[in-house]
Amino acid sequence: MDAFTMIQLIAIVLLAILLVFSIFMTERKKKPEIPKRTITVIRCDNGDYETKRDFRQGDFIGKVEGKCPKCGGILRVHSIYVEEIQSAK
Amino acid sequence: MDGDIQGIISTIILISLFLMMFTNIGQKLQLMFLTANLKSKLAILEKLLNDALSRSEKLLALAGSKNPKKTVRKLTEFFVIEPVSIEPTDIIRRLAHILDTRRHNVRRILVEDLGEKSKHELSNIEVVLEVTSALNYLYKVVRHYLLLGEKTSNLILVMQLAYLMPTILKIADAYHKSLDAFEKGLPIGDGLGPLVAYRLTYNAPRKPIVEETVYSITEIDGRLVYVVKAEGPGATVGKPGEAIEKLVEKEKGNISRIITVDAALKLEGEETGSIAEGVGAAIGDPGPEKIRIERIATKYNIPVDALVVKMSAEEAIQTMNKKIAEAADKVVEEIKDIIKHRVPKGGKVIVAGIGNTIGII
Ligand SMILES: [Zn+2]
Repeated sequence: MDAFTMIQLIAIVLLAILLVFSIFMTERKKKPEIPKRTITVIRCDNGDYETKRDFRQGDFIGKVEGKCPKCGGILRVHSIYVEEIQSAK
Repeated sequence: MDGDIQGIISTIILISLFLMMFTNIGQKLQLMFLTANLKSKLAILEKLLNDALSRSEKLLALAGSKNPKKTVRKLTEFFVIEPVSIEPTDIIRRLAHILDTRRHNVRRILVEDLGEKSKHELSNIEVVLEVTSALNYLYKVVRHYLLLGEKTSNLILVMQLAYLMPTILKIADAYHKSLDAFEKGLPIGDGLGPLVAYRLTYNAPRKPIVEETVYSITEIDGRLVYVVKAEGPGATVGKPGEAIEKLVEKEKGNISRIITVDAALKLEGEETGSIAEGVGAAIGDPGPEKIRIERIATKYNIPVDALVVKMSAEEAIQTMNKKIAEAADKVVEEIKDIIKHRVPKGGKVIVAGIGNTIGII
């Protein structure tokens, strides 16, 4: 094998590595979606009670959600937001 | 024998190098690869659009539409012609008039199909259709340039489209994801302003003042506070500018400060939920509402403060995330601080929570 063939071979191998690498990079870019859930926070008007639950259709911030178990005040939806679910590793 | 093969290979390489360099075969190949790639991306856009269309139809059918397909088609192709801008006289009034007409027409088309429904339900359906319409527009424009580039073998056109495509796909994906919030009536990131307004007033009565806009009265440390927001919990931004104008006129200009709160677009790298303070009317409407605030504030020499919470364009139209919900409490504290330090005791102040009030009463 002379020098010229060597160079040709090296060039072909390098090109192949480059191709594989670029395909690998574009594949890796797709991050898996983090699971999320929507939380409804309910709070007593007097501020002594707060609870969280999953969002239900029809919830909106300011909606009356019954009576406070502690003081009998009015419970209202205080906040609605999405939260990433912490995955246990 | 060995020398023969080597000779053939080097000849082929030489010839192809020559062809690539001195003919347009290279460009043709590039055009071919790019259009093939763009077509697969266009298919993704089409998938998002079709999903949005079928969800809109389903939503309309659930609301009692007689012909959901026809209504969806009608509203996704609905367009607005902007007023003449080379003649600036009363351009704001003409723009406001056109925007009002648009809203009333869209509402009329929906009411004709669905019959009388609650305002909030109609607003939510309207926004879902608006999102579908935006996706429809994106898809059609991308398809147009792709087909045009292919037809005229315009490599530059196709290349530009190829470079823009990741951004376009990101926008389309954000729109598509926002459907989830609008269908269910969940508060979105842009609802930050209304959320702050809610946290300032809680259950104080909401008094209607202008179309789809309400105000409540509360007291902070001996200062009377008018809190303006859109009428919830339907998906609407209301007319906060007109409302502020009316309140200031009602008080005959006896207002010490106007504080506007809104979501602002963050720059790449900025933290979501970070708060910034400035001056001016923090409101991102096409113009008519903002100018009303500026005019009335100038007329009576009322300082206008702006408080914004930074978020990305995607976060603004998707379900509110925890960082933004938590920022609302900090903004409330900051407003109280501003009122205590910059409004005299016994003074009056207007706080406007600007944004889409979906999911917030
Ligand atoms: Zn309680």
